[in-house]
Amino acid sequence: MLMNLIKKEIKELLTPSTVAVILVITVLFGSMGKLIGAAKDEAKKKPTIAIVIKEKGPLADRLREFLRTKTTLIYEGDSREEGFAALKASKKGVALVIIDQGFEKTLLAGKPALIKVEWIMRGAGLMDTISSGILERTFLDLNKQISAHLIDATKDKGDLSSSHVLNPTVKFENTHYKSKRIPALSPNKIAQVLVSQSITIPMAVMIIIMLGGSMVITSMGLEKENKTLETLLTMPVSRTTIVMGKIMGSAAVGLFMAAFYMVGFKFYVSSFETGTIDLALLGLDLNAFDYILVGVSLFSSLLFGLAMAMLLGIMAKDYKSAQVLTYPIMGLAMIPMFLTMYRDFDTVTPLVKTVLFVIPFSHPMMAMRHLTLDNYLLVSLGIVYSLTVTAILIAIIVKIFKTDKLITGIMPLRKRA
Amino acid sequence: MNLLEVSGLTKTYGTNHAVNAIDFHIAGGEIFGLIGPNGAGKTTTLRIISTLLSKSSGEVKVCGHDVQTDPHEVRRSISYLPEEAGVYKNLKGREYLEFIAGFHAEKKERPAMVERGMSIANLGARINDKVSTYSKGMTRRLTIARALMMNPKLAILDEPTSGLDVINAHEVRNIIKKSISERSAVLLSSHNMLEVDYLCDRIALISGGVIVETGTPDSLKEKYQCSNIEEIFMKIVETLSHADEPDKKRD
Ligand SMILES: Nc1ncnc2c1ncn2[C@@H]1O[C@H](COP(=O)(O)OP(=O)(O)OP(=O)(O)O)[C@@H](O)[C@H]1O
Ligand SMILES: [Mg+2]
Repeated sequence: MLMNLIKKEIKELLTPSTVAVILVITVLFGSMGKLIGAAKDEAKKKPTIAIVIKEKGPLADRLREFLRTKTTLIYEGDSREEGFAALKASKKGVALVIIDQGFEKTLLAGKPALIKVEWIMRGAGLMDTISSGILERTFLDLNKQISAHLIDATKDKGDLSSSHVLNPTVKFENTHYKSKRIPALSPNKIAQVLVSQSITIPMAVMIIIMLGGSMVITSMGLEKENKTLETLLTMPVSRTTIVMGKIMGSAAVGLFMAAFYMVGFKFYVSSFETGTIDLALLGLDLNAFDYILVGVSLFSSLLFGLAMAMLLGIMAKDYKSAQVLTYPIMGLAMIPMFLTMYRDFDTVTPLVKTVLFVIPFSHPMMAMRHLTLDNYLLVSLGIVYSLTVTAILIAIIVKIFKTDKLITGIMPLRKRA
Repeated sequence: MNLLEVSGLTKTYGTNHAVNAIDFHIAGGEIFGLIGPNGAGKTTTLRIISTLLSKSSGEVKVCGHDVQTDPHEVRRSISYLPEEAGVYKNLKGREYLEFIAGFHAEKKERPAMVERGMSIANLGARINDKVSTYSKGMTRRLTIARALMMNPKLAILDEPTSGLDVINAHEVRNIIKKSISERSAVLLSSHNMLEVDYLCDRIALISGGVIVETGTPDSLKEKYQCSNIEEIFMKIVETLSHADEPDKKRD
């Protein structure tokens, strides 16, 4: 008897749609693993840098030799400008390291010597700062080289303090993050500030889209189950009105959600401003217009989510089957969620870029980061794109509403009796 | 002029003829009953007339308007009550009537229409309660009221009394009977042969997607020498057993 019940339960739950969902999630996580595997490889790679060492002498030679083995040098010369240009031109360049003349003399005089670092920060995703993290560790080793040199050089005299020998340099660093130049911080420190946003925003966006989507699909399922849809379709109103009514009604609720999201988000961001690093001082804060744009971006991709939900809802037979139909939306939202967590739009391959742009859900996930860098074009394009795709979807839905597919159902996998 | 004219109407699902070349018409002032067993094609026929389903072939005209080419005009003239129709659960009874009235009347005329609906539903103070608290019979009275309150030229009711107890069914039948005027008509389906005998002016017996007999209840009783429609139906089905197509339900 128990077997009988278990069999029935499995039959009910293991429908083609649930199996499809499980497959999609497996593939998704599989590719996530690949992405993280790629991160491992990257962590083993040497950072790419440019060096300008004007200092002459044995210490300079030693440091140059050290950097040659520990990093990949794309420029080694005397011109800052050339070095920086070479760095920018290379896709992987992390930093320009400058050691000026008089380096050793300053050290021997018992004063800390300056290492100037011009960082290039390419993105704020979890994986975008791996390389600069490695270089920071390399600097620790570089200091050890200097300490060793100082100990050797002053063996007999011993007039340098031990704290100076152990800590011989100061770093003078700037980070170039797209169009911004952020003084006195390395990319890692900036990423630490932005990382919580990198994780929270995509997740919040996904939750909103899931909520909106399941709202529409559930309502379609219920309308079919209660036959209220049949009633509605015999009323003297145009099919476009019926479709628009449903989408705009849920969009109104969605707008409400988006507004709450923005308010909550403002608080969330301001809680960081009380911390150690002030985003406003970094030039990474948003103004009122930016917030509105983020809201519009969220709303336009929510509209797409609602239209997609409605299209899926057409396939729903009742409340129960409607639940499963929300999974495609979830899957589609999960792809950009993970991608934007790990990588900035600018640092991914063209293929991933295309995937990200094509999925309208990506745009609100990326909007905030784009706007901190004043990249208005990408955000606006995202909004226009989402609205266009939504309009096309609505046209398709209206077309289906004019047929009798809503009543007979769309059954691509119909078995022969 | 006939309010409804159906000729050669056919609907196929794959190879299954749900409705097969049926003809009938309804004149003003008539209550017309489509009677048949489960899977006979009643709902399919009513849905095609209500512009919900497309036909495979044949012709359907409501008040002179073709359902295929002029569905919007047809929708102005009809009112369709689906089989086991439900209501938006979060609405109150009165709110539901107001919602539907919004489709059928100008703003000025809506209160009168809702008032008429409330008197048909006859739910007393419960009309101000949420529909989710209604019993099956109360819900049915509400949906019947919403289907009839706008005085449609053609009311299409799919099994309006199925699942109701004797008293509720009786009441619903009376509501339908009272609603009819010279210029309007009712098309209903049922598999309760006694009910249609009481309610309908004319009936069509449908089986396996084919109309096997049409006429007034009395004329049919006379023709087949039977005292009730049920017996007539059994007789006809027996004689036609070779053409009979049993219900092929899936799932
Ligand atoms: N969407 C569909 N796809 C395939 N076949 C269908 C579909 N809808 C109905 N049918 C078939 O059409 C035939 C007529 O069905 P219909 O619902 O019209 O019967 P009915 O007379 O209303 O029955 P009931 O008294 O059970 O409501 C049945 O054989 C049914 O299986
Ligand atoms: Mg039926």
